[in-house]
Amino acid sequence: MQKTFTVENPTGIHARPARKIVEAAKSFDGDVLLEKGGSRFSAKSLVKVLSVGAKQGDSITVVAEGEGAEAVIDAVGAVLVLQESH
Amino acid sequence: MDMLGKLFGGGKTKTKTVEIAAPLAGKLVPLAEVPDEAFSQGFMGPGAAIEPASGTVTAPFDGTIGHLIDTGHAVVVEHESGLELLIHVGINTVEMKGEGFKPLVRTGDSVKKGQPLIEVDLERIREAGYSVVTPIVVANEDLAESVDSASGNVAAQAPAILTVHLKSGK
Repeated sequence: MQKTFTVENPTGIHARPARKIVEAAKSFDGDVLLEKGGSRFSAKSLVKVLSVGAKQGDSITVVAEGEGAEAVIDAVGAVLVLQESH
Repeated sequence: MDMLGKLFGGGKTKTKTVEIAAPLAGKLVPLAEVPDEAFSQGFMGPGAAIEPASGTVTAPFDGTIGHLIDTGHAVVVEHESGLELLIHVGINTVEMKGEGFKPLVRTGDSVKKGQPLIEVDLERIREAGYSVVTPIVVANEDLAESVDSASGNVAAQAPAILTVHLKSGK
């Protein structure tokens, strides 16, 4: 299963949101992948998530399979569309 | 010490440790004192922070640049054990959009302990209104059994400001 999200955060997916994505993905036993421009990255590694280099306005597809896949995709997607405020 | 451990510690399985040298000169502070709840509440992983006295970020061990953020304010250094260490210069400094940060390495580069990684203009960051306190955290803490932290003032490359005890076996 997969869903596509648009990054809303003005500063993109930098260290803090990347970490939130890893936290969300780790709750799932199977693979959780982020796809951008035909390349796939594990959502369970901070280095890999940062490697996506996701900027505001980028479309990122989240891929997972099996029981609970939709929940983890939605949890990761919620971070992708989050706008940080502080 | 390490050598003696290796020579005389035979028999039992020993926990491997990774010692992290100070990537900046300054004052070590607990993560809890970092003015960002993602770091202060430990969500970003275990570690410590340095209130920097100088702006040259150096490699904390021999390793590889896992990722250098394109705005130059943060870097992940990978140790041969697989340990990933995030060095995040300042708080919310992503908003500087690279201003005040001069990266000296690129993602994928091999680095030696003490090698300069990023040149930071601390004054410029302070003037822009950001804290320069620099959290240093283990990004893949699943590998770590525990992390010990030193405290007080440290020189650049001071040894073992953090000692990471890796989980054995796997």
